[in-house]
Amino acid sequence: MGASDLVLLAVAVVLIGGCAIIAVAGGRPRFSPGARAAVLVLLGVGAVAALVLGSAIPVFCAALAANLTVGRLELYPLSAYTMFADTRDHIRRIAIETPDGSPVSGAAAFGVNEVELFKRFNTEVAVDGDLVRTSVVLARLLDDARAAAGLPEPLAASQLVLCEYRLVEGRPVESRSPLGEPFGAAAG
Amino acid sequence: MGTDWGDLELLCMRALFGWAMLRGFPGVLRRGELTHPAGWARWGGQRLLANPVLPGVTRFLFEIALVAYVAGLGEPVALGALLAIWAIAVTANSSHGAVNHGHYLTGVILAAQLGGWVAHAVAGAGTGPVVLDTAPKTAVWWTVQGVAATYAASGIAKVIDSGFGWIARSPSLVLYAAANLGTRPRAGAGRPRALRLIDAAGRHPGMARIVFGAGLVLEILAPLSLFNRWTLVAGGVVLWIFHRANQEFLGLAFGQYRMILVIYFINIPYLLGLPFGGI
Repeated sequence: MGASDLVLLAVAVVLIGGCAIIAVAGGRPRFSPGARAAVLVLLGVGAVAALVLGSAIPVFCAALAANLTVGRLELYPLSAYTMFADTRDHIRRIAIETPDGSPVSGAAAFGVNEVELFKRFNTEVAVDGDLVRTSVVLARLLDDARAAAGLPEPLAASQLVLCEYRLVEGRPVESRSPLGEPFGAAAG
Repeated sequence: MGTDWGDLELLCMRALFGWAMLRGFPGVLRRGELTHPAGWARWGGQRLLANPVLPGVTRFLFEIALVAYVAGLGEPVALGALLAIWAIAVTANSSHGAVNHGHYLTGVILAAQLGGWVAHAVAGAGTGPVVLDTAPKTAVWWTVQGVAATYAASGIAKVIDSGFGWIARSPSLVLYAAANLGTRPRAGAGRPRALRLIDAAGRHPGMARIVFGAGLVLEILAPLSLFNRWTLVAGGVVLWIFHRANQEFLGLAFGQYRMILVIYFINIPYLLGLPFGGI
């Protein structure tokens, strides 16, 4: 381990220690998007500097720098893996259910699993926040995928459900609401 | 640095990684126009990625390249082809509005191994830290560093994106447990351990911060596992347990990541060979 690797280790300890201190102190600081990008670029540059200065793990330094900087653009296989970075007090998911509330497997019934469906939901909602339009897009996606996979028509009146989870006094509380029309309703 | 992998170990790694790729190949799942171009697709190639013959062609080329890779025939070419095929499949799928990180680590390994082969061809045999005495060893050395960088980047992004507040706010991760595993027992589908976790995190947020914070520490300090063979094994085991716990309590599986840790970090063929003087 060279001197540059010791500096990398020190930076890692500072990051962890800073996070731990704020957890103990009960603070809720936030970086602006600009400050966040600047810090990440700085860390990326630091990793490159460690590489140039003779790190014993040069590929680690290069890959870390690439992930922290251009990885933000999700240029496969580079990513900054930000999916669980910004913890929130409110999250959502999409389910498919029969009228009596029994879950329907998206993968088995439509060839689309619920995780992919939820990601598509997030992407569509981010466009204009319109839940009605989003429900139409998701229904069409499911119908196309089902047809492409050669699966039979879905169970009549099964339907997309938007499940929302909020932390109330430290405990998750669930609320559910139908999203769009039941399958088969439009055709009927 | 513990980079003295034997020929049989390298063969086992190649075969097992080939098997992992065969099991996990995403294929081009969605057809038609790309509704939300992601990654490389934002800069072009959208017509190619939406071409209806793409799923069949990529699957066919993937199988040929996979056989060549596992057999050790033209490995750099096979690696380049596999990387291109995975990039096309993942980018095409992600461009329908659902970016899936489950396949990213495979791409990291393909890129790292290709880089290792190219570096060895350019620089010739070396003694580290960039190039080792043979190209296959260099490829594995680059692989474990690439995997460690992936974990470290994920941990650092958590710290920076949360403004150093990730551990403080980590008890809210139980929302993922609630969303993925349910907030109440259902007939025949109870998740008692997840329900207990949700309950415990609500009652003891400080303990929840320690547990989730430990996961963050594991990610950021992943490069410490690169010291030698035994730190690789230890790092692989704790990261495997980290993923297993995430699956059990938060419903986040990342099965391909666990398999890769078993192949390149825990390295079971090496451990099995120890009583017989190594393999």
